[in-house]
Amino acid sequence: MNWMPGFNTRPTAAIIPSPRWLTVLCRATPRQSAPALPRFDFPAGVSWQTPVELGRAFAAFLGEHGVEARAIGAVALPADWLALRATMLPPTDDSRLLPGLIEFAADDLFAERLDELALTFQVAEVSKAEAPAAGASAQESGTGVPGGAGASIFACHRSRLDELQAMLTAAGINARFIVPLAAAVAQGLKLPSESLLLLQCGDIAELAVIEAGRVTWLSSLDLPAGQPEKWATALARLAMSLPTNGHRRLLALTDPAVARVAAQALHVELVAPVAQDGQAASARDSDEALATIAAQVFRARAAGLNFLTRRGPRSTRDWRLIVKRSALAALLVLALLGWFAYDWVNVRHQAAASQAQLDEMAHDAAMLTQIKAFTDATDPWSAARPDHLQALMALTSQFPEDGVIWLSSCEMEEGGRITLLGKARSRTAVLTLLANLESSGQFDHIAPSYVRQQSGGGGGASGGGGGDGQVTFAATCRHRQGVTP
Amino acid sequence: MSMSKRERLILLAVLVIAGLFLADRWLLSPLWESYQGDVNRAGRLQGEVFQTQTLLRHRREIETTWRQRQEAGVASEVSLAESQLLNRLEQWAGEARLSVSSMKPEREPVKKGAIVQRVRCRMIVGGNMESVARFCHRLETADFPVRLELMQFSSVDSRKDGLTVQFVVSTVCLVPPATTVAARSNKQGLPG
Repeated sequence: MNWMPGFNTRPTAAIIPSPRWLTVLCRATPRQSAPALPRFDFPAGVSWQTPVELGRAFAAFLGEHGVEARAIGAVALPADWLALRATMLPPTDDSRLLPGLIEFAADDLFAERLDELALTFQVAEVSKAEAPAAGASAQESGTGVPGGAGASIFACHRSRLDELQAMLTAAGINARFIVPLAAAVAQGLKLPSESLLLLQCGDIAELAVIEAGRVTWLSSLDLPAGQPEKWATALARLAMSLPTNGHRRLLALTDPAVARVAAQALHVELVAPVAQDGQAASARDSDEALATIAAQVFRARAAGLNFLTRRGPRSTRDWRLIVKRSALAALLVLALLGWFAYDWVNVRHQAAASQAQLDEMAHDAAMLTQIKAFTDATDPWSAARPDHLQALMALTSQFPEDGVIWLSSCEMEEGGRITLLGKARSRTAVLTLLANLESSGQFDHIAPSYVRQQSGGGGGASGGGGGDGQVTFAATCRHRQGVTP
Repeated sequence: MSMSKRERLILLAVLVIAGLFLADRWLLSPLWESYQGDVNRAGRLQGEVFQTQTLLRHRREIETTWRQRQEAGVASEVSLAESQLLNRLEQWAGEARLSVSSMKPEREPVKKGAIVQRVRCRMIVGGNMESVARFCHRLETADFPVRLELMQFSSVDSRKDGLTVQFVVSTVCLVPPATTVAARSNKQGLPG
């Protein structure tokens, strides 16, 4: 039971795009035969120039026919979408060099810039007679091109692929494989060398020349619907453009009637195609032909024939590369761990060495620490005594000399704080004293606590005058040099 | 049970994340904390070594200072310090021609953890300004540990030069280790 609808859906269908319609290829499954879907003709006003609208319309079409978008896993591109160039590759026994060689060759073979094209390729198998003995074994394992074999390079404009992918995205299709149709079918079928392959999708047929398992020539033609008498003419015209006439066998995945007409028009023997797994892949009608084509398209996925990605790491060499890189990464991690462990051991050694040094100095250090504590504690009685005498001299030097102020009490504390109590002939005399203290620069925090007019007139201070009468006062200040260090 | 490629991918991602989480929780974080603890400990010990070496480099100066203090008369007993202070104050007052009205020694209780004990003497003297200044000078230039904490003048008569001065003078003595321990024990309520 599928608890998550669509989550576990296995792709069972592919699509073939064309300028005006899409053909859905459904693969037959063990449980059911391939359902036949009608061709999806583009609605009015929708084309490849409007891929989002096209995708939505296609999604609606799939929904109407009960096909989930997730079921579509591949796109097979017909000849109209492709450019094919056959070339020879220099000999190499390293499969990792193949993409570079292909790009180098494609740069010469195609007029467009390489960044405008998406490429995929088929490499021809080389017979042992043609290849050196050592290289032949490498070729058998699929790891390289030891004898300098031929390659077929398929190119598709990236702009067209972008349109296609935009349409697929809008339709909710997650197709991870976009393959050349003829090459995919040729890859999936066991084809004899020097043979022709004819595929039919609706009114369009595609003829390919297969040499040594790869497609070396490709063309398409329209088969006018309901006019079989014109098929022979069209096929004969196509036969004239074939590069050689040495082909004697035709494998047709078409309606049987078309296959017969094609064999006659091309003057070749019609043979039944056989799949790589040995099963017969002949078609009794056009729907069965499409299902057979779909099966080959899905087989081609495994061969790495894909415009979207490079070939996967399937060869032993690639796996060795992965193992080497993993080993390097593991070595790097081990080196980091080793450095970490080394640093940790060093830190612990440093701590142990410091502890040993401290233990060695502990006795002397404890004694000196105690002595220093004693000297620090006795400093205020020996080295940092408050300078009361200097404070007293500084204070008396600021008094007015004419005897207008008479102190009744003066208190000097440890921190240099001085409290003055006394009488004065006038308020002005007190203010003069405070101003003198301020201007001397030896005192700060100067603040009068009070200055009061003395009741009853005459008091301790002799004489009178001053204008405002005798006052009592209190003031505080701090002697700067008397501060305990 | 067969799983699709996407399910396998999700399962793999979950396993990798869970593995990283568990590795961090049980292996990486404890290791890192232990490493950081060792680094901090090594740094702290190196700082202590530096401080101790600095202290040992100043060994001569510290010992010289201490020897000078001992020679100057830092007493090791309270009674000794008290009698030394009273004798000196009486001597300096006599030399300065101050008349001593009262002299009252006070012992400050030993504080917790203190290594010295303060001994105070509150004295009231009479004299003129010149005598007071001379007495102050002797206090400030004394060769044994003494400190004038408070000096309070009050005039006797505004027409005369007579002053009454109250001095609070203190000295210090070392606290024997046993006393320190006893003081600590009393504070903490432990048996002495």
